[in-house]
Amino acid sequence: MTGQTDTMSKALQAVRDRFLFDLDQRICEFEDLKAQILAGSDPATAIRAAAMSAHKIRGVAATLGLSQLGDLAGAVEDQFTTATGTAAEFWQRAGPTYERFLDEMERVQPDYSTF
Amino acid sequence: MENQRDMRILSVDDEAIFHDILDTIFTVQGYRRNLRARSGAEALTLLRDPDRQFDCILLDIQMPGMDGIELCGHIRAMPKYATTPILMLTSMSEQGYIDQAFAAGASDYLTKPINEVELNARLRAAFHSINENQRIEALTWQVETTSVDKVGMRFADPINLPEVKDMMAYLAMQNFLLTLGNLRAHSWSAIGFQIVGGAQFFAATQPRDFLEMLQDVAISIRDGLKTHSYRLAYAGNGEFVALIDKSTPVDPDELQDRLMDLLEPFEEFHLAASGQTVQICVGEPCSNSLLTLAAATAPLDRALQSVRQKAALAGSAPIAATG
Repeated sequence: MTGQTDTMSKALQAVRDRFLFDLDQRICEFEDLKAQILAGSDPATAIRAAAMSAHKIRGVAATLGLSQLGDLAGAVEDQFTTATGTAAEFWQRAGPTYERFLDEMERVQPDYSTF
Repeated sequence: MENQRDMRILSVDDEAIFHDILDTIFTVQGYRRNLRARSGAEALTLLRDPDRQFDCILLDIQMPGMDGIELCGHIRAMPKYATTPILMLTSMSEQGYIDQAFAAGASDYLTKPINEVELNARLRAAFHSINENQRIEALTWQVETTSVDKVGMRFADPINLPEVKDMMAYLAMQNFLLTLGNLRAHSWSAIGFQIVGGAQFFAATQPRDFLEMLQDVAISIRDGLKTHSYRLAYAGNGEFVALIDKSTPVDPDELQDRLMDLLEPFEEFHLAASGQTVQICVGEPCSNSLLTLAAATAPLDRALQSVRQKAALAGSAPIAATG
């Protein structure tokens, strides 16, 4: 993993597996938050929650060797913590990054269908 | 405590998987005495427990409820954790967070993703500061409770002055600059202050009088800089260093005159204690150029060199480290 010794990378593998296993649940949470933002009833709360959840992934992903996911989580957090305008305007600007972030979460997940 | 791996570490982070990462790193590296808290409130409960003592505290910044910076301030207000190393361990790399964390009392700042080698190095630095802090705390306690001659205090000791508000440990000031890096540290300049004849004052007085004199000087510097954005630390050897935001530049000669005025009310005490009045020499502001290869902490050394040269030129003996 990024910047880690082999011994540490092996030791962290179990944590990484657990993180990847839980990504399904996180993806569902992010999809829910996206729906709340687009529904427009209380977008500010959903935007804050999405920023906080992205922040958590930002801190963990790169340590576990998922640097691209960490970068995208950071980009989402940065955009969502400085959100302005209406929900629709905000989504027009921030939506593409959010979608790339969700795509990346799906991409790094193991294919459990082959197990 | 003879080994850094014997440190009792409290890690505070709301993310369970990050605790798993830390536990794994600690286990591989041989740290055995780490405990986790998932919130500021939980951490405070553990820290207030009279049956527990932690040697080092790791804090995330962005947490629901109480954030790590607020928590850091609460921890520093607890006498038993007034000098315990607090390492911020966070994804937040913006300068505003770094400034706030050190202002709240953080000793060091490490950004995620975590690298095991770097974490271990920072924990080693924390371990060494614990031993030094314990020695200085013991000295301070002895100074306050006995009149025993010198009680092992050295003139070179960068003693903490917890009774003076808004001061930071000299090590934390160095870490602050290292965390900022040269580019962002460029917005600060360092200014050195020397107590002229400080070594003679130290030799002529009881440690308690010397500590009180340091506090008088620190308070005077603080008051002299009150219209500026600054950080102040005592570097030992009768010398202070201030980091001053370059947007509010300082004229060292004017500041020196002002400090002499501010020290006047203490003159009688200093004279009675040591037979001499205290005078302050203020050096030139120092900072790195933007493209320098020098360490971000280099301005601190240059600020001290500047004030030593100025004091020597003014006719006083330059203060050299003793003991």
